[in-house]
Amino acid sequence: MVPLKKISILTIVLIAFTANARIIGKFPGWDKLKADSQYIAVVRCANPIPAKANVLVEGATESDSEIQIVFTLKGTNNVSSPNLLTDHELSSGQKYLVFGYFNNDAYCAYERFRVVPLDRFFSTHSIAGLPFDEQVDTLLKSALEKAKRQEALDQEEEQRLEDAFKK
Amino acid sequence: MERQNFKYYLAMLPLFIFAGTAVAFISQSFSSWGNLTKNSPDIIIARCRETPETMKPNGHMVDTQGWIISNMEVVSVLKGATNSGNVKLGSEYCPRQGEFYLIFSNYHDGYYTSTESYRFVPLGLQFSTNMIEGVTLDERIQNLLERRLNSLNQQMKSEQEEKQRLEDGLKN
Repeated sequence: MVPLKKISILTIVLIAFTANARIIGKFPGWDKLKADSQYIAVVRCANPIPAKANVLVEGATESDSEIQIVFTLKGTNNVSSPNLLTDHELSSGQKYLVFGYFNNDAYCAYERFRVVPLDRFFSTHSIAGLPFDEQVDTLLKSALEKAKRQEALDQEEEQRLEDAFKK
Repeated sequence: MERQNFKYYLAMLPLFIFAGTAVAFISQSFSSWGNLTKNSPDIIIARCRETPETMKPNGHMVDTQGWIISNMEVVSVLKGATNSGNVKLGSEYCPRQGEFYLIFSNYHDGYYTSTESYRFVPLGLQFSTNMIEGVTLDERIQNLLERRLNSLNQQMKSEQEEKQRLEDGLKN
């Protein structure tokens, strides 16, 4: 016979864990992501809200940053300057294509695949007036170019670091 | 009339040259960690507090001329002037706000300079000075470089996945 007190404590513990949990989904494919995302926009990362140094918050996202909506591809246009919550790392001044939804004043795109870094000098003029699917394709192409450049930079850094351990 | 124009441009030439020189900075290529450690008067671990605004209130991009002055918080000094707390640091590299860095720099006139990007070794968003293991300066730097190499490998893995996703999306 399990005492009532133990059951009560267990229930409270379970509730506490549930409140902190975030459900992280797998990448469903671009078509489904486009269809299921309530709000798709190109945003510019403004000032990140820095986490307190060396303080780990259970269930917090990797990044929390003020953003400016540069171009809305899907969803309402009357959004001011929300915060973007995501597990993708964000850098100030960088533009991102975001597949997310709004929860109060927060633009939520928790999973990494929902935030796609774009070329720093990408201009939204290149997607103005295009059909939605073409807009997304153009943005993905820009992101792929950036990813290739980043890969080259990473390999350069990796080589430099590995040199430190060669005798 | 053409002669007058020529004189005008001739008079302006020194001004253009002066303006061009004022924003130029010399960037040197990476030689080795040994040289970098030896030739950097100040080696610090610092956390990026703030990078310059990238956009003006009117929505226009801020042109920093490639020189970025960030507000940093010195966490530990491995070599050189024993500063602590908030300092300014100039570089061509734009650090990420909130991230810790091992920085090979030069401190002068109350200001740190680390021109080239390779002078910054990112150490992540969480860092404790307990992680600075090793007795000698070289050992400490080796340990920090190893830590960065491990996190870079993780980062490259997730970036590779991201690249693959983008390529798959564009194939269809």
